[in-house]
Amino acid sequence: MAGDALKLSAVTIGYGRRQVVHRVSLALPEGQVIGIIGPNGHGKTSLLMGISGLVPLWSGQIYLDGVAIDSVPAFERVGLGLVQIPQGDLVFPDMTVEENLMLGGYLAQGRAEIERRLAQVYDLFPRIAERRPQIARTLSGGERRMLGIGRGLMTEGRVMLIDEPSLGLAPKVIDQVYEVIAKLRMVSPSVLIVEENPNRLKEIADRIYLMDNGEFVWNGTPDELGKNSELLSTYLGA
Amino acid sequence: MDIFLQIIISGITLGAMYAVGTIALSLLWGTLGMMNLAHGAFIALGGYAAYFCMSVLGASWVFALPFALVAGVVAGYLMYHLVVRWMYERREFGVDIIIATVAIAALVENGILNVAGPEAKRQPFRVSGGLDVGNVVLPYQTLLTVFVAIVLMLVVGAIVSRTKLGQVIRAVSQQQKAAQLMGVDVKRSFARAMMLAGAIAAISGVLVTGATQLFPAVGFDATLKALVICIIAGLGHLRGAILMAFLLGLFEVAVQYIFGQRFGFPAMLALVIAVLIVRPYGLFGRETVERV
Repeated sequence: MAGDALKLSAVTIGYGRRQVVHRVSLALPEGQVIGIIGPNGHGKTSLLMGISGLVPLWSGQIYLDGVAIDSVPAFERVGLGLVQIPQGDLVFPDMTVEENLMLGGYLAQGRAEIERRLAQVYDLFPRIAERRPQIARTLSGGERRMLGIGRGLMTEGRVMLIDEPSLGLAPKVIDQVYEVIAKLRMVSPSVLIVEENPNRLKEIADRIYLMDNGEFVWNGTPDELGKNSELLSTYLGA
Repeated sequence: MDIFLQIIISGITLGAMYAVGTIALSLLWGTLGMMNLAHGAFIALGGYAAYFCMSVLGASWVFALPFALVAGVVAGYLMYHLVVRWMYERREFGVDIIIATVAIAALVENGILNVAGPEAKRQPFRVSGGLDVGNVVLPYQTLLTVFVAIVLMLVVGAIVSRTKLGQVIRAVSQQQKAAQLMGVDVKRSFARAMMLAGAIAAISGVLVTGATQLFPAVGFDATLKALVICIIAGLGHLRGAILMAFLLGLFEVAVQYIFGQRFGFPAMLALVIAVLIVRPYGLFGRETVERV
């Protein structure tokens, strides 16, 4: 039996005095894609930031390949194979596309290894390859999003956290971004992806968790979600 | 014509010194978002380090700049580990660090006062004589200052644009969270940026004191001017700051020649106020929206 690439056990996160994620547990089996959906402002992004270490946990444990990482600082988690593609891409605005990607390979050993990863990313995203010398701030929203994903790929993390890749993009561009995400599985086998809109996850997720008020209130396969119209209308207004 | 040439030469020299100071300030503003008002302490430290090296230890002038550089690196390292790292994560870091660095400046200044005494000393790392160019004498000290300043700028430029340290410094200053998510140890990069800024300030201290004199508060004027230049150019905009350093150097010298010595600095400050009224984020700065 393949182990869990990522496991959360009773994770609690908050800011100041306000608790926003309440004892959340989840197991991401190796090679699977789990989608987390739910209304905005209900702790989805906080949960991902807690996993990647950008915000501290109040309590609970995070295991990467069975090893507890909750006391490991964020930058060291990357070296352990955990990569987050943050919401709103957060590219380095005044660097070129290639410089952005090179930073994704920051922990890679040696020029040859970086070149190999660059070639792989350019292979997956021909659009990005065309834009190599362009300054990142001048890219379109969709291109920036793809650059963010490509930069994440450069780390060659085994577990990838993706935060609302569709946010603020036109539907046509979202289609393109999701084509790219579908390709991700070739490189980064285990994916935890957050979205507001469940329709986007239907084709790629093995399992979907519904988050409401900082808790998982339901989980199941995309098919089960599709059939559960009551659930959809209650939480997602669909 | 001679006066014009003289203004150009003096202005460029002054500008070169200002530019070096602004680089050190911009570097820290860009990476840590900190306004380093202890910049002048590093300048004094560099000046006294060169003095100590040559006049007290009796070493050759060859060692003066490397010695000041090491002093600056050590000072930057200590400042990060003794002060900055303990304050950085606070919400009010931006304001707290201004007060803290003023305190550091006062401590260093008074420390020097106690050890070296209040009297102005002559910086031994200097050259006398000059080059006759037509009717104008070009002092060797001026040439040395401009030469060292330019070499320093080129070296820092190469570090920032070509090395791994530079890559990290740029990444952290542009998008700190993303840098962390790529595996960059942000705190270590802060320490290194401070060491680099310390080294730059210390070397500029040798130049500044070579052109004037060596006394404990020698860095104050340079800090104020570097700060003014950074603000007028737009904080964190390095190339703009360097350009402004030279332009303001020329402006200050021109005003001094035309209206008299005492009008130089006030004129510069008046210009700053005018710029800030028209463009509050500086001449090259971009308007930023801060979320609270």
